[in-house]
Amino acid sequence: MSSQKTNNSFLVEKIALRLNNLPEKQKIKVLDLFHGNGCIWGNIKRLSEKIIDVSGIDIKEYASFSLTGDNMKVIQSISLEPYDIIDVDAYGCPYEQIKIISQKIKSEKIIFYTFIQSMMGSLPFDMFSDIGFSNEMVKKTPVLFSKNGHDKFLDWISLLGVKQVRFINPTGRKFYGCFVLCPRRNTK
Amino acid sequence: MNKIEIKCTSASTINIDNIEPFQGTLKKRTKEQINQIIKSIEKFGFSFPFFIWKNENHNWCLDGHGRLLALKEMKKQGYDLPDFPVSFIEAKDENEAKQKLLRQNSFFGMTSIDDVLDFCKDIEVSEINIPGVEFINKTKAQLEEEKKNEIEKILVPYKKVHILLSMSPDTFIENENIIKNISRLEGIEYVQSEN
Repeated sequence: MSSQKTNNSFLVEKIALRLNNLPEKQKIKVLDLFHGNGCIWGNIKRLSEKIIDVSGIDIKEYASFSLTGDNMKVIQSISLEPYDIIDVDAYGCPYEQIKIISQKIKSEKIIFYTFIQSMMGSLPFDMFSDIGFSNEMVKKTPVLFSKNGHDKFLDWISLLGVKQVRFINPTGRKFYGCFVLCPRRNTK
Repeated sequence: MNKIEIKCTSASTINIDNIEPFQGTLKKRTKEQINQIIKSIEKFGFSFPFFIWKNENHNWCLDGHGRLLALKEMKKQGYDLPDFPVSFIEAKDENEAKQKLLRQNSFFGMTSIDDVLDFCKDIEVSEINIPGVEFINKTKAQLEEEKKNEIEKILVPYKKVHILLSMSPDTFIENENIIKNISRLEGIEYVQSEN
């Protein structure tokens, strides 16, 4: 393969997951929260027959990005309704981003996510709290809570009404997945 | 003997043995990269003239160093090399020739990775190497094969109550049987940590 290495690991797997789980419709709008150099969606656009319009956000300035900035601030301030897909190819646990998305959306979205548990295993306290573990419990037994981080993440997204998830697990700590997120009926 | 197709025209042609590299160590190429150029020439023919600065009795190469190396390698492999189309570039001295070579390698304009990938839609991209652009050289059908690695999981709303029992090792040993009995009860998931 003729290629220049980028910071995208498992690029083929990530692209395959997205290509194989695109919505049925022909014209698709994507909000890419960790756009980077745009290699993932650029290749998907190249390989798919669908018309894919990508809006990218990244904290670092790249030649190909649409908007530089903190994606947390951006997703809080823009309407997510134009988008069919929100891509959260994060470097750790995408809890914060998905929580905001779940609170804001008014129509169904496909979420693509990357979940990487660091060697230290720390996951957001708020996520543990949402599934019933207090901060004290987590602090008291960190080893217990560093296990099965992705399972705990799935437990959490089940509380958002997600009924099905598809993911790949090419290495122990890395999970790439997707699910359909529906608008919340009852928001606190 | 294998022949190389010439797919461009110009007023002059030169035998590659009479072309001398001009860029020195400005650009380095690996054997793999030379092989990519060879594959490209085999597939598409020799498609662009060499840019040559003719100075005294020398034909200095201003553009085409990679192809020059590839063609020399092809000659070793037994290819029959014809004379190749060249365009002569004017330069009053070595300094100006260097300036022109650098300008030939300069990138005036903005191209994003998105733009490059968009431009390459529906075309085959092997042997193309653009810095920063990682092409996925697989077909859609090959990528669909990756679906077999997907794990599908049905989720049910998470409903669990968590109780943390924290005790010293001595207390644990004293109450081990009681804890074991509780852990065996229906609906109870028991996990033990030692920290």
